[in-house]
Amino acid sequence: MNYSGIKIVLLTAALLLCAAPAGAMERIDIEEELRLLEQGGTLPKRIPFAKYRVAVFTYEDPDDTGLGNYLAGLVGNHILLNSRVSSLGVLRYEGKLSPTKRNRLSYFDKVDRLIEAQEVSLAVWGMIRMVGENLIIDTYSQIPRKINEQYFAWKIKLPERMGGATLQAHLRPNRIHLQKLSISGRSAEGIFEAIGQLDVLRKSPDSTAEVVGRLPKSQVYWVTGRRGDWAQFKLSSGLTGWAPIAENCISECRLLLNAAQFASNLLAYMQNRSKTPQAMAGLSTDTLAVTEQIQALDALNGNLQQIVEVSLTLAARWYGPRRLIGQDPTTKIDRGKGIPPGGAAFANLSTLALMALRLQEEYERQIENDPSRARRPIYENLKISKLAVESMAYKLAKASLLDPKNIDILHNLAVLFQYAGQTEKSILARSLAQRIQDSN
Amino acid sequence: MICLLVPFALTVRSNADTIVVGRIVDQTTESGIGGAGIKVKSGGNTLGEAVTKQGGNFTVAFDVGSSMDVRNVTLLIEHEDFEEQSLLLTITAGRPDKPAYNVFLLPKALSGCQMQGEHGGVVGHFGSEELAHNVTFALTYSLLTRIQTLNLDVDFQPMFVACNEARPRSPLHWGNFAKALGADVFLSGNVEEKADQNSYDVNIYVSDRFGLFIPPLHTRNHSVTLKEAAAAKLEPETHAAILLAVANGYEQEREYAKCVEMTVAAEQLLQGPTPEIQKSRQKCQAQLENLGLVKGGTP
Repeated sequence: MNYSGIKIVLLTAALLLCAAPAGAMERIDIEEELRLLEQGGTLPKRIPFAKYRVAVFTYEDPDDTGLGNYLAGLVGNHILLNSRVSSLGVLRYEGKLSPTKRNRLSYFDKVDRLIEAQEVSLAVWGMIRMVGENLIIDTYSQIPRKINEQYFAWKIKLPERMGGATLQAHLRPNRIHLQKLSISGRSAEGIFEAIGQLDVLRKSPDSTAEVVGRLPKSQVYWVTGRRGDWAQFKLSSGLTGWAPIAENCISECRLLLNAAQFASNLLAYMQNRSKTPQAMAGLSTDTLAVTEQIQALDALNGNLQQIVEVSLTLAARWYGPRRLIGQDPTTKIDRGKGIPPGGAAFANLSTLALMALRLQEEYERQIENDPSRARRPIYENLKISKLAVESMAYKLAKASLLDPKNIDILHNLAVLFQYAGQTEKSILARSLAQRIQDSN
Repeated sequence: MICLLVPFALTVRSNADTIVVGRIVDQTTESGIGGAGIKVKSGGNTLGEAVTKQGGNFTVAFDVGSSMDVRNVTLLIEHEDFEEQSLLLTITAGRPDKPAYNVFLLPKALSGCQMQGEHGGVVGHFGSEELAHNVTFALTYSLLTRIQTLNLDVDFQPMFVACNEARPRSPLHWGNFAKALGADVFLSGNVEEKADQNSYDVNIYVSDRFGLFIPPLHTRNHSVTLKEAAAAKLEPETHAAILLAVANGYEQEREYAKCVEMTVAAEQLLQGPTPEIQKSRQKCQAQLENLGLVKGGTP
């Protein structure tokens, strides 16, 4: 072997040792982590080498079904194996998050604290209820504030002739109800039998194969292979073994994986914005609202046709006189009626879309009048009438009465009123936005 | 002479005596409490004593010394079934600062059920202690889930307390229980066993301290299995009514934005607005600073 050959081998070995594995998981004790937080300690960053990190919490289980960890395990496994992001870590939080006399914080507030402290990309959690013999399972996802700012924020910069300020939108809601799933008593029987099985490592992908160990707590382990409904894991000790991905989760239980898939799709979108999440049958109204909101906001950067056919059309499905109600024909998801998920987010989206449309129209009008201008950048010289902007602002201000603390809306109102010459209203909107920002 | 003047002036000055009159009332039923001990105290000294009559009325006469002095005395009310209460009275030139004193007492049985300034509700008697807890569970885990999507500050999240001892005897008293316990909303009800003997129909009455639901809002929850903690499922109408009462609680505290958010949550729960939700929201919206942003609004 020559010198360059050695170099290549060493480099390959170094890459193998240092490269972040595609998928890793860690089981973490919730109570221990919360205790550390309460004592003001710094939490060790779990799976720090992963670019995208998802926290999956034991489902809240007020009826003591014992399924909380199992369901979180199913969801965690599905996300780990189906997210198709290049570097993923799944933090599986195990333990109770119910409010106690000592710590009155609700389940959700505790989840909030942990995801903020760990700075994860996404969190998934849920709740199991027993109604008669049936299980009702609610699954939620939360996009942390920083991530919302980084991946789910959209801006339109106004031309310099209009002041050059920026209109903004963020995905709302960022706490998303993914699914309400009902599992009949008969299907639930198999689920109860599977409790504890997801963490058992076997020699081969077969439920009768020899048990070689368990997936440990507080240690990272990696996915090294997959065969059907089984995944091969490698522990930091070097031990490898096979564990089921969705043991006994069949028929109605499989629908739970649709919720996990939606969370996976959100991650995929963070990595590649062309992969817009898709709502699917059996998911909640929130998922449809989130999906269409993302599609509509992404289309703001498109041409006139995209703005009209995607942004404005999708916004009108949720806001205004043409608000759609009832079942969506494609996804079969109920759109509900009245105020949509996210409060006035669609009113804000509608304003941004209208502004984008007016600017596009103005651009095309100018090109039509003087074709030579198409060769020059003319965006900064575009201008739309103050009256038209004032009308947009008033419509948005009315919507703000339904969602008074929506910071995007207040920010945009400050910009729009400023341009329209309504200085006092602009100052008021800015001060309200500032106050909310300060209280956060 | 004194007795003749009481109906006209209620408080009368007679030589060295000061006379204080009033009525002691059960906070939950608004009925007078007989047999309550009344003492007028100054420092460690008892200046005068009386016992309330059947309807709760009392008259206590005492000597405050020099007739031109301004003096503070304490009116102490005691009854074995009620929480003790005291009032500070200012006596000027022998005359008390009020013509009559109506004092509301809380039954001792309810003293552990009072809310401490939080928003939310008290779940009273439902036929069994277990069901009161089940309904509280249902509220904590399903309604709070809904509210959580609003990302409310922890301090403003409603909480629910089970209080099996809270047993209103008349629908007219439901609202009094909410007021007495410092709760935005008070829930109570009863169960009817079904023919199959495995399940029950549960009647829930929702009332509030603001007078929104007079008489209390009645919802009927069918085929509820009482054995399971989570089985006390509430109708969306019940949830919405509770949120509406909580919204009014925010309004009282001038937290108008939160009030609006609660009405939005109530509307989303019901998949549409009701006249009550709209009325409550409009009241809060009318106080929002955001109103200065709409057309015609003054910043």
